[in-house]
Amino acid sequence: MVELNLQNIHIYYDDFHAVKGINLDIENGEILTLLGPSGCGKTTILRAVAGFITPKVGSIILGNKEITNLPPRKRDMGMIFQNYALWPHMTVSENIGFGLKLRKKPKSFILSKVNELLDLVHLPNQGDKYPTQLSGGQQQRVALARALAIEPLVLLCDEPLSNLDYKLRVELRKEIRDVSKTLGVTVVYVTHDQTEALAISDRIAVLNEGEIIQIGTPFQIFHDPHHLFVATFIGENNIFEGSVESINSGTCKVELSSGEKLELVLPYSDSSYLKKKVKLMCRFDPFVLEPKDTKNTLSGIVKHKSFMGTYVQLEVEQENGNVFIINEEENIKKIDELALGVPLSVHIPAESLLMFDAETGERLGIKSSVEDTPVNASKSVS
Amino acid sequence: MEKNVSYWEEKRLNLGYGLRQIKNDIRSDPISWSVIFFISLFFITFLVVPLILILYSAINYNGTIKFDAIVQIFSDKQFFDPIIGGGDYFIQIYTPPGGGVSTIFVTGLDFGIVLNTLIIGIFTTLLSVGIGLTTAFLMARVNFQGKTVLNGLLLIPLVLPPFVSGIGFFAMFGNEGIINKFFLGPVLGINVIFQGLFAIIFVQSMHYFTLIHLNVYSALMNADPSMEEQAENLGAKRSTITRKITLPLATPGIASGSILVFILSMEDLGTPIIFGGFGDAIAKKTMTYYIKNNFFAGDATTEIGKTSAAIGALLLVIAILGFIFIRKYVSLRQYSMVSKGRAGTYRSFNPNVFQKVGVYLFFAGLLITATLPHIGILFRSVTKAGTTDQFTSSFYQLIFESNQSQGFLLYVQNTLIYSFTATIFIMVLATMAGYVANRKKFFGMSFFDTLVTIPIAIPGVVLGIGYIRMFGNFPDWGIFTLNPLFFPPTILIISYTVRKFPFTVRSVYSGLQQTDEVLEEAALNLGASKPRVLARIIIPLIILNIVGGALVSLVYIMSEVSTTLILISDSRYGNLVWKLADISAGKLGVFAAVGVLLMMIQAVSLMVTNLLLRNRAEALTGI
Ligand SMILES: Nc1ncnc2c1ncn2[C@@H]1O[C@H](COP(=O)(O)OP(=O)(O)OP(=O)(O)O)[C@@H](O)[C@H]1O
Ligand SMILES: [Mg+2]
Repeated sequence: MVELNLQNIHIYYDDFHAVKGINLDIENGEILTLLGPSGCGKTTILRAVAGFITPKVGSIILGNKEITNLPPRKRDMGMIFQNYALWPHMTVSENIGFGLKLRKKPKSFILSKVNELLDLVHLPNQGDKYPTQLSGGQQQRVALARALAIEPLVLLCDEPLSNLDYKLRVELRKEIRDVSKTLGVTVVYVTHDQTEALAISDRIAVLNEGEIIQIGTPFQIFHDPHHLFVATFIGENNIFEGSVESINSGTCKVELSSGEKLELVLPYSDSSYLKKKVKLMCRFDPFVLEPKDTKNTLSGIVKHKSFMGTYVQLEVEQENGNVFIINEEENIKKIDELALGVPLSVHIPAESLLMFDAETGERLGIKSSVEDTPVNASKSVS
Repeated sequence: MEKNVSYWEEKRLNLGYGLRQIKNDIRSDPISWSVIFFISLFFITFLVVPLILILYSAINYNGTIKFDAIVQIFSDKQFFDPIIGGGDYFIQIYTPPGGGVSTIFVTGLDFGIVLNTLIIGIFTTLLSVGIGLTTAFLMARVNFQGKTVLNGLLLIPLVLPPFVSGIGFFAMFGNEGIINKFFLGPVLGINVIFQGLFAIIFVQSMHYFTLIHLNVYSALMNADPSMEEQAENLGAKRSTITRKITLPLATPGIASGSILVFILSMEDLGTPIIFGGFGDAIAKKTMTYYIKNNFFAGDATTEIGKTSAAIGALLLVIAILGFIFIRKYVSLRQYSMVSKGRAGTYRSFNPNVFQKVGVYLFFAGLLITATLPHIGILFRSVTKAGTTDQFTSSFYQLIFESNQSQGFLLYVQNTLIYSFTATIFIMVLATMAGYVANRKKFFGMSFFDTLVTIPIAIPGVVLGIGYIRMFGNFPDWGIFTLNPLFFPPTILIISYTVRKFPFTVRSVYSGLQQTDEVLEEAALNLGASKPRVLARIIIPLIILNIVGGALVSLVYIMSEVSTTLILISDSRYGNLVWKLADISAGKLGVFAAVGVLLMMIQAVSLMVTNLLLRNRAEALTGI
């Protein structure tokens, strides 16, 4: 049963096309995150779901009901704002109970519900305080409780944690996830913090300039990006430029601009790839130092070295000036003693390289699609 | 018991700690502290002491304390007459014995001087709040076209101080007024004349609602939009949001604005003087008017009369209580918005066609009513008395061709000298005061803050007679004497400086709030001296606030009535306001011309201020 659908949503601010044809199917009880750089339209989409903006084209369907033009107050959605938006003239309890009071619930019911929620967000006995008397993290918890009090069909969160410090963010994102899973509420979560998105979501929709680039589980988004934008936006990478030299069954060889050749695994290929300008992407950690054979190796000199605790980060400069970064976890002590300027050769496993079209940024070597992975993949997470 | 001890012990320790800190800071920053010292001294001398003297005068009978005068103003019928007697009427129709046009007098009752003034204060406040809230809410939360124009138009009432407005009102509604003489009389065969409390309340409300409007409007525009969105999201209707969220959040603005209006309305001397000048007997029965006409104990003495002192003391106590309330309310409940970022813009209410027509009709009605005095005064200044179609420039000629040593040009010249001198003092002193008030966070600084902002609430008549009480026996030292009976300008300029100080100091303060102290520390760090930092870093950053605030002060100085009328005792030193108070029905034309000149000066100053200061509310209302 699909709970919330966005179908071909287009939103304009005057002439500015802010959201360009978004399609999203969000499952009942799922936490879906909208992730993307600043200004890509995350807030805009969320506000359209809440009803504060009406899309110019497209429809929003909740359950089986079209709600595109329904006013916000009739949507039964809870919302948490980046700036908490707690009413300073009401106590914590009054803030939380506001929605219930509007729904004309009996006093005793409101009282017990508010206390229940205060316990849920770990703020027992704080109901009589005013928002100004709470810390930032506590305020955001109250905002969460207030949004949940009306037992919303959908919980909307617009960067709820971005005003908090790192430790609190980590703590609260766990809490938001736990609480919404306990209550089984569907969550649309907006953030531009990739770690937060990876940690909290069942699925992530990566956006850029008003368009969805890829939707998938955090694992897929991280390890199987379908677009160079997704790959570079999430996690750290090395990019090597080059062109395709040959294609074999299941593999292909790319000649880098530095002259070295790298082989990579390619489940799906096409003769049109030959001679194509491509970009290869590789994370910092799959490198093997001092390889035995010379296949898939790169060489250069160590230019920088930083000890990071559990690993050592090396910056290697190739002859043509290209620089790549290695995170090495093994033999830390030995590597930490490496002198700057020493030559180094490293091996890159063929399966750790991803290939993208240098011009369009499309991923090469997979079934050509930006398609969603099956939705039930998300089920296993919760 | 134990708790008590530790409480006082704690206070004592805090006090000791605070004083020690101040001592250290004085050593490292003597310049700022001398500023604090001298400005405090100035305000204690020219504000606190004269006021205390008046309070003391009210109860001091040759060394013994008696409350006779206080009792008198609450028992004597002339002052306190809550019972409506046979001679009282609210509306009366008068038909001349020989027949002719009948006149309907709408007057309001007479409850005695003290009660009348309270009634004026209360009703002016209620009316101003009603109108100001409505305009602010419509402008801030309802979608309709033409808001930019309206925003400007709504300031028009401010360019006409109530007393000039009174002249315009008379020009429109007086028995020789345009409306009666050329519309009601000829068409309906009756005249309608508004007088007494009713007229004063009307004229004042049409002016003071702008203060409420500005305060509430800025509160509504500065509140965080997500506060309202959240409520809507939880299922609240527009009306519920307004009632439960919007209005409560604007309460500090509404409360402080209304108290200010209440105080200003009661201490207003200009309106009663104008209506009194036109022969309105009840208008003369207000506290300020009484003080103005009776402050000397007798003809041959410079002593302040007991009754005037008692009335002054009452006005003063009300004003101070009101101000304390404003401060408490605004500072305690000033919602320094819990939130940081700001999401989205307001979702305004989209009216349907009928509602839209209603909104336009409301604004049209309000603006026409509020600008009738402006139109009246303008019209009267260019037409011959008793006509509407015989235009003349003679009134303006009379002003500009008058003899410099005694005519209107002298008054224009004096007005300019007094107001610009005072404004320059204010600029210099308020910049320094605003700076130390903002940067020095020490024990006792709230006293300093109060000292430099409270003058906004201090009734001018009381301060005026306070000066006479204090300096009335000083010898004649030429321009250096502070005795207004010998040479009024010096003490008059001081009174302007004190009274209109808050507008500039507020503006400077808020400017400084927006400039990071780091900028200053960086310069100090590089070896710049404090005065140099002020001159090269701070002042350039806040120059707009200084000039904008000073312009507001200037506007209010030029229309300051009460101290002007109390302190100027000699026509050689008269200024325009002083001259205007000499109004009577026969001199309407030339006085209207003077009023138009004042109006234009004020309009220009306000327009410039508006360009300079975007946050108009606190600048224009001073709170
Ligand atoms: N009220 C508005 N009027 C005009 N343009 C707007 C308005 N609100 C947003 N935009 C534009 O629409 C685009 C999307 O804005 P949106 O607020 O949705 O971004 P976002 O992804 O939430 O960014 P952030 O991460 O910074 O919050 C931006 O380019 C922004 O400039
Ligand atoms: Mg946003």
